[in-house]
Amino acid sequence: MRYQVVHDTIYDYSTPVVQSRHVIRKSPRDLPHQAIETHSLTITPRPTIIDRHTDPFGNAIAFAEIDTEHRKLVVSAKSRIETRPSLNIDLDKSYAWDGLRKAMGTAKTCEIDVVQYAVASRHTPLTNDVMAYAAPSFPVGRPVLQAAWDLTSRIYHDFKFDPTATDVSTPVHDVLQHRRGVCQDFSHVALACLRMMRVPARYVSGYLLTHPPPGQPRLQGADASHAWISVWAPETGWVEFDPTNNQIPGEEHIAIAYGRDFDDINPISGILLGGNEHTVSVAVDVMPLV
Amino acid sequence: MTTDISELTSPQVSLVASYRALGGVSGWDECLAPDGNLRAPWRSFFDHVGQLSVPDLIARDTKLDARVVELGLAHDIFSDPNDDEPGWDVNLIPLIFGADEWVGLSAAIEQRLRLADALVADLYGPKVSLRQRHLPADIVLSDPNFLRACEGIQPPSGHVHFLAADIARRADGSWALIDTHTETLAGLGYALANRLVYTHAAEDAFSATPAVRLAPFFRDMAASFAVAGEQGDTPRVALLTPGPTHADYFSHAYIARYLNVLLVEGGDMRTVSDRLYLKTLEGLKPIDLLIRCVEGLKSDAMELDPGGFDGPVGLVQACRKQPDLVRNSLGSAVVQNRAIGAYLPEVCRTLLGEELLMSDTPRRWLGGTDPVAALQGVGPGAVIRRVQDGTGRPGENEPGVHFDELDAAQQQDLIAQWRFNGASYVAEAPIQLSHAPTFVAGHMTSEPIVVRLFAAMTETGPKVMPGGLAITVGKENQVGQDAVRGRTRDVWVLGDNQNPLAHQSLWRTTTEKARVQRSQRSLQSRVADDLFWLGRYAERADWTMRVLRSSLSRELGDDGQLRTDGEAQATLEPARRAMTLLLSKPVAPSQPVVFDADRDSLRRLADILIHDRRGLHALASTLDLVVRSSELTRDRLSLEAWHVLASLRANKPWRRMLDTASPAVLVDLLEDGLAIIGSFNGLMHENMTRNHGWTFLAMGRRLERAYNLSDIMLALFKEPESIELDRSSMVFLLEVADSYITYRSRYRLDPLFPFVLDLLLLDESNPRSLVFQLDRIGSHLETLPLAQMATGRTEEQRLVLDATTRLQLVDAVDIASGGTRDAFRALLEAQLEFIPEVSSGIARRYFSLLEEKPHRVFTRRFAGL
Repeated sequence: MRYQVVHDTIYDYSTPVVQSRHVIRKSPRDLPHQAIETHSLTITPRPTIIDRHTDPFGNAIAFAEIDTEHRKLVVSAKSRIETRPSLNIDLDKSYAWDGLRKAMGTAKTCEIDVVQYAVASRHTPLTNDVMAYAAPSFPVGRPVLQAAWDLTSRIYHDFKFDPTATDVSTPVHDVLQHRRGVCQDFSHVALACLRMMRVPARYVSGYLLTHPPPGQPRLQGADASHAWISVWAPETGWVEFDPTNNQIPGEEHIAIAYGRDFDDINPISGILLGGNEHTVSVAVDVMPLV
Repeated sequence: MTTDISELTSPQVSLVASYRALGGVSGWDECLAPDGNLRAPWRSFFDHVGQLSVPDLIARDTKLDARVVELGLAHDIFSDPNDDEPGWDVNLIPLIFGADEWVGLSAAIEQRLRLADALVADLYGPKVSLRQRHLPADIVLSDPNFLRACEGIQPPSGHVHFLAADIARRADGSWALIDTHTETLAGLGYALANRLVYTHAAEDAFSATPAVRLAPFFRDMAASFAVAGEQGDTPRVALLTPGPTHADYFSHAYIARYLNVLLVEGGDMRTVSDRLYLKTLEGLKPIDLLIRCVEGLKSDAMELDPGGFDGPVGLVQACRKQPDLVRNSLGSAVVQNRAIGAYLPEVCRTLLGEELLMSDTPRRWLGGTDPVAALQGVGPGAVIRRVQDGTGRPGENEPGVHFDELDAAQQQDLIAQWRFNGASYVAEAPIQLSHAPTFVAGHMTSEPIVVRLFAAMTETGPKVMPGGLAITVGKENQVGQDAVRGRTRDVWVLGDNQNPLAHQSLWRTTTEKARVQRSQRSLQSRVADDLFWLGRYAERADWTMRVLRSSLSRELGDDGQLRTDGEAQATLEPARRAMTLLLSKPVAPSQPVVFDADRDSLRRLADILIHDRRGLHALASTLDLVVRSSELTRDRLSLEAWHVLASLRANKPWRRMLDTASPAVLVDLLEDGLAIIGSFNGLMHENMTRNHGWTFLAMGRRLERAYNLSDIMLALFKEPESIELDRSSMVFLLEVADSYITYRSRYRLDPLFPFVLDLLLLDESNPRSLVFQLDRIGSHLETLPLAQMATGRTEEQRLVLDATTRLQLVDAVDIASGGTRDAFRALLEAQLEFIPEVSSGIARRYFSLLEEKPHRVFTRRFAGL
């Protein structure tokens, strides 16, 4: 499918910002199942300096420094993207999760791009409660992708979607305790569980096409940015799972960036001088092109 | 067992003999061979000290302790002020290495420096060591000190420019490396200070033993900083410290001063357009090289730990543009990870093509799939330690856990935890440490030691400092430098005797390189701010003590007899008013306590003013603020000045006496306190260069004095009072303002209001008068850089000029006469408004570069369904 995606982030500050610098990750990745036809990133006010490079996880990053005093910042990303359906993967035919470690350890060279996602990260600490939640999905000998599917589906059923329950820094421990949160929290829970079992798994940030209720028109800007996970198996490479929607992502998921957790691929983070209080609004519009 | 050397007749025999008499120590003995003879390198030293009498030895030992205290080595800003135990001790007996042994040791440490550099370059670049499995990738990838954001930054001059290695000698005489420090200078300043302390206290012993001097090493190190400045300017080199609250601050400040580089904190800098700048009184100045003594992880809140403001925001991006900017490079701490040690022989072969010269003590990582097998692999007696810890401060490692000493349940608990946190731990085989002779309170004893050696990359390759820092380790079989209370000794390396080295010291810069420079170095805005407040607090303490002294000495008349009631009332009233005034700041208490002007009330007032910490003028807290400001500006004060103020610390005898003093001795103690502040002021006046730092200190003092003087005059003479009271108030004021003698010599009369006003308000030759303060503030403001750049007068200059002019136009006789004091009151009330305005004007103009701390913003991934 082809889409036009518009992703606007607008900051309003209560007092003027004198200087600000930002790290921006809003440029979707070029992937085998996803081609970027066009992409533009517009920042207002115009940055004094903008610099781009690729981070260690292969994502495009833009650095912007703004030295003009401002009370409002708009970062707007516009892309045309074509996605292809995911290949049919037989979840049952993957390597047993408990043999995976050994298989990876005996390979001739060490694939950093895989093993870096198997160790704990700041938002996915390994703890007793993570172990307890993960265990039922990982009986001895179960194929790793089947275990991942079971785990993400359990999260879908056990956890309630509730944007008021958590914020950007709610630890996995609390999410597990209250069983509420948003896609970011569910993804972190899933990643912690998988890494507890030393399975390489990564955080995916992206967009999801939303469907209006039957008979109603599509509302512009009503979509949202989204997060899900991706799990590695030797036969298939990376396979994606969406614990928030109990799905294996296909044509309607558009990936922006991969990382160990949210920290690695936060779409915009910034450091400000001045600004005091701020409000942020995000508008995402995923429009299918015909 | 110890032997008292004073019981022995021939000291020369006795020192060695008493050590020998201790009996064989476990493990290797650094000083005695198994046959009981001195090892060759120690002979010259003992030949010399052996000729000294016991009192001579004790005198040198006492001098060592005194120098440690004078230099501030033992000093810790956060130490418990009531704790008098010294935090640092330098032993009279050094650790001595012969030239032969040193060749091997220094080759091994040089190799470690090259290896650390090569490994950091590999990990932040191609990662060959991980990809080819020479080093398990999980160890590196799970270490938070592996800074992913810094991948790809490859400084042409290298990553690791300095390294410290903690080594320990096994029972068979061979050495093992127990810790590597690649993050900061790791206490290099302490090693240097130890040497200076020692040579001050016992130069004779050092000279008699032909030990190599340290200065050439530091000269080479300083030369390696000579990077090209922008447009041929002198390069601006700075040492980045976490600040005075950090345990290692002494070392940072000391080494910065010795190497003649700036000492800066994260907030002193700002990045603009990917370039690093220092905030100074003259504006932003580019920094060319940053010697990093802060944790990499906390160096850039933008891309590293979001809570880390030890470095300037944007430092990582600045390094991408200018990779040689920071030494050691950001992220270099990853090679300190103890779990790496076991793999270094292979890594060394791969990256350097050499055999590893000194291996780490046997160690296994507990983050693998089978931590129990790893533990067993280490063998009995294993100690569990973190993979990374400590600040690099010598002796400050977290002690390990002796696994065998735990009971079965604790062991099971620990093992169960490794499943979750094993990546952060190693099991390590302990080393039976070697022992060295130690001189403690006139006795010989023997202590287990660990040695820290330092290496630096110089223009002619890696060099090891011919010396080091040996630390007594708390428990005999302990690993690492987890020492108790910094019991240290200097490390001496014997020269080869063929070409004795000339004495060199960096304290005196060689003239061939340096040009005479009178222009001042840029002053950081933060330092200006701290000095300004040091000036204010010191003056505030001085003022409060003056008021207290005059108040308390009023109790008795000139003849020592209590006065009659009427007299007493008039005599005591000014004291009551002055102390009540000081207690009322910043605001009067909601339920004002009214004190009578009688002796008991005055004593209670004085008691509150001295001991109660509430209020701006409370003496105890003001004195603490003086000490605190002197800590913050320590690297700008002379050692003597810092020392004088240190005697105001809460744990020093003077403060302790003040706490418990009876009214009878209180006046004497206040005299002593005034003498302390007085000698600080004198030292500042006589010894401090008239640079911008001095200007801010002096302005702080002048502003505070002007305010206090105006305040008390208003309180005492607001309304006309009885003749007795007015007269008594004038005497009190003249005393407090230190002008009584001047007045008497000038007028030889009882105080008359117009003359008193003239002397204290308008007399431009009286350094205690108000106009004198304003005049000086005005001249100080003129010398400041922004004032010189401005075309007209700055706002503060206008304010001061206005106030001075108003004062100069006043006629003392006019203002003092007449039935009301309206004119007088208006004049002083205006002063009390204007002084805070000048103070905040200065703050806005010169300290505002210290803007609020930057903060982070996020967006959140919200959605789903």
